[in-house]
Amino acid sequence: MKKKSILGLLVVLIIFGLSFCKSDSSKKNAQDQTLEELPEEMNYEEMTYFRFPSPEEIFGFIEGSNIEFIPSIVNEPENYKSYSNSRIQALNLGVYFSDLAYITLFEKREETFLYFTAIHQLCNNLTISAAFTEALLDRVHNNLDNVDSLVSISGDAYRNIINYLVINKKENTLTLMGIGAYVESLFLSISTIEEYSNKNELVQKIADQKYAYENLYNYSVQNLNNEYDKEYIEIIKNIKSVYDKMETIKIEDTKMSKNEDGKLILSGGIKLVMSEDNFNELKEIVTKSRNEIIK
Amino acid sequence: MKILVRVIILILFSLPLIGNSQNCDNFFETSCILPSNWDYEINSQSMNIPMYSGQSFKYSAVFYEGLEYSICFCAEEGLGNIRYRLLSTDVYLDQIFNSDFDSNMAHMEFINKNTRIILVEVQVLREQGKRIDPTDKKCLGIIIGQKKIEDEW
Repeated sequence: MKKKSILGLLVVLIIFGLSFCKSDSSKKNAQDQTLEELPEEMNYEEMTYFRFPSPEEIFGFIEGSNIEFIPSIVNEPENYKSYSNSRIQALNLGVYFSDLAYITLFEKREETFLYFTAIHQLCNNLTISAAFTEALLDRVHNNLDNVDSLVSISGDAYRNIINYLVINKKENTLTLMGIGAYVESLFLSISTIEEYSNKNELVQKIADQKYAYENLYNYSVQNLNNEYDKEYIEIIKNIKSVYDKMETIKIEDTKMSKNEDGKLILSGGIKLVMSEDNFNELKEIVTKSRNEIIK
Repeated sequence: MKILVRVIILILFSLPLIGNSQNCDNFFETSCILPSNWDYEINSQSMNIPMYSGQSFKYSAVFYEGLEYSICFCAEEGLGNIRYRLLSTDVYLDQIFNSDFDSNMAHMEFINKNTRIILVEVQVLREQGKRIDPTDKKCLGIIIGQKKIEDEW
């Protein structure tokens, strides 16, 4: 019996050993190459990593600039049941994260659980349930009375999903989720403004999202490579093109200086000016794109 | 014989760990010690990158107006010292901060008065004479912290 166990272990060890030797030999070959000879995917010399804020961070930035709560503009949480295509599911996963950030901003506790449930279900459908577990949903349930905890859980859930998708090389899904989240957050912000005013602080904060769209666009171009996904890059490209039409005014040279407490202050740069025409065009494109995504 | 069995079991269990040694999943979340009194919220733009000594890369992130930020670099042991600089992307790429002038500090903090993209150029320094080995990857964590400004400026 003992001999059989040892024999079994040795067989497994040999199998492991063989696979290990294989990767070791590829390692040896790569070591012999110079940096210039390395395949493109291994040469990170010119690699740029583009990052953009989460929906929770976007609404944290917008908070306080007279954004209103309009219950009818969020995507209904039970709509997740009608999303059968994985691309649409990924886009709407992002949409629901933005809806969640929006409703938690206004402390709508009852609705919060429904949105967490929709996110959980979409994760199941996308076979990424390990990124949003039942335990996390239980944590939501146990903290429904504590808005700060819900905001924190929402942030944790978003980061968990990002980590999970990156680890599992599902950048494609992550990009679609980002596109859905950004279109929805812009739609929610812009839909609460009935009439344009250049004195409206929210208009300025919507204008400032140009930078996040720039990075999301570059990230999308890096990660959405197949033909089926090109139409989603177009959504971001169209929104970005409206942003690119905005006037820019140089405040002063960007500079880092120290204040009297010795803290570094980064000042200067460019002020983005969103005209009424820019605003209306952006509203039209965003509304159209968003309605396409959630239908 | 018992010893042989134990050795085999030990090798079997350690194989997956050896295989994942260049896997940087959750590196900064589990392996980095943040500066004491670091009272920032971790921003979702933080990330882990597998790197080798001598490698450089660029990192582009969005920084909102009216927030105080902290940028921390956390390198796995043996990776090497980190050199970095922040570049403004307004019109041209202009240097706004260079770690060389601040004794290679592993983190820096600043108050941001205008929403902007900052491009961070990062280089992992390698010991002089040491050969670049792209297969010898270790982890680098870039941790962005943010908080609301305590006092109005």
